Amino acid sequence: MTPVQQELLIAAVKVFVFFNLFLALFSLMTYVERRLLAFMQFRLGPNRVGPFGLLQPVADGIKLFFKEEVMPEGANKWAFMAAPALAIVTAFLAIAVVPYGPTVHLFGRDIPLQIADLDVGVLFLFAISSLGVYGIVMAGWAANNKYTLLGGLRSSAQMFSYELSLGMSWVGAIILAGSFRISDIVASQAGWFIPNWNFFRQAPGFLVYLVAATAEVNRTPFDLPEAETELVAGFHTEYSSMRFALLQMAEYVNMMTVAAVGASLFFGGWLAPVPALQHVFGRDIGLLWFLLKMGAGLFFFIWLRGTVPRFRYDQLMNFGWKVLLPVATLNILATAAWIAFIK
Amino acid sequence: MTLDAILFYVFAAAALGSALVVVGQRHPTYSAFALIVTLCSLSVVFGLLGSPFIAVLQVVVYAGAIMVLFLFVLMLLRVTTAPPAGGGP
Repeated sequence: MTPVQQELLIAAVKVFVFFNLFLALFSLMTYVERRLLAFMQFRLGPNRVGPFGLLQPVADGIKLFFKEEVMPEGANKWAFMAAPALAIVTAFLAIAVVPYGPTVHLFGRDIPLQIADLDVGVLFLFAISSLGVYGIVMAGWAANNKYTLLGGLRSSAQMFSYELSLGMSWVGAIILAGSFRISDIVASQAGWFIPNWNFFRQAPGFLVYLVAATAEVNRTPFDLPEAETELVAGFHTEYSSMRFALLQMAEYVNMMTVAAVGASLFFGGWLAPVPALQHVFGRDIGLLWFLLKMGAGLFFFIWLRGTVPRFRYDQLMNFGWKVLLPVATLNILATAAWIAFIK
Repeated sequence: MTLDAILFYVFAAAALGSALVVVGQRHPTYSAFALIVTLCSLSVVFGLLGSPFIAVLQVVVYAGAIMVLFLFVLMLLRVTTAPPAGGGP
């Protein structure tokens, strides 16, 4: 094989592996979320199928496959079918630029555990997250139902408002690393976790990221697009069967992406909190550290859902524009001033 | 043909085709969606020309920000079809 073909083959294998890893994580997450939420509410949760209910996602998948596909009368057929596909594509595109671990040595080659190490990695993430809104908007609009339309409108306004803060919260980390490349940002956080992780050096930026990212993936307390008390189920009211599953999958994959990006930009990615713990028995366990940090982020989302009530719509908008955006801007100014005058 | 050339022709064709849909389609929401396809295909062409920064900014600014506002207005006004040409009823 020519070198180009070899590179293509390696890239294809990496895409295959990470794609399926995220699919597996998605089905695990549907189980873990219900189970943990249940424990937080003094219930048991799904515990019937398999040991501890672990096979529940399989049962759900089989059930959804055999459900009838319903398309509402007056729905826009093409947009209705395209919306879940669009949502899932944009959700999966973002996992390509996240570094999952250190470079591994396989078959006499050095293979970085990252699908594409783009020079503009952070900007690419921003572009993908800004495209993510179209799946939801299209789904809400195509079903020709006032509740789905309201859900779609709400989500476009909400994601548009919080996307700005989301992007601005990364700028401090970018300034400190001096690069848009995500692997450089991870490398800039090497050393002891205090004071080297951006979680510590960029505390305001991290808080803004936390809030904006929760809003961006439409999780409680920002789940207004699917507020079940007002809008039935928001933008996916009219979806059934596997299309519904695809929309759910997009939501969970987005959540995992947000956790992975947060771990990379603010918690040192695959670097161990203490340099001595990076190697165990002479092997680099970066991937484990990464999965641990990502898992902590996902647990936080579930915890948040079990704890806080939903925002009101005007509170949401006020908070986004009057609190989050100024804080993010001041954080950028302070970081830039520190780099320019003190360092 | 090299891989770059194949990708260029595919995405150039996609950009041109969807641009034709933008002006030819009577349904404004379809036009907006077609415009998003045009902008994203253009961004791929920028990337193939070796300027990833402009490619990404094209998506961030046009496809991600401006088109969301377009769609927002279209959905808010519930425009279904364009008014008939020639001042019909």
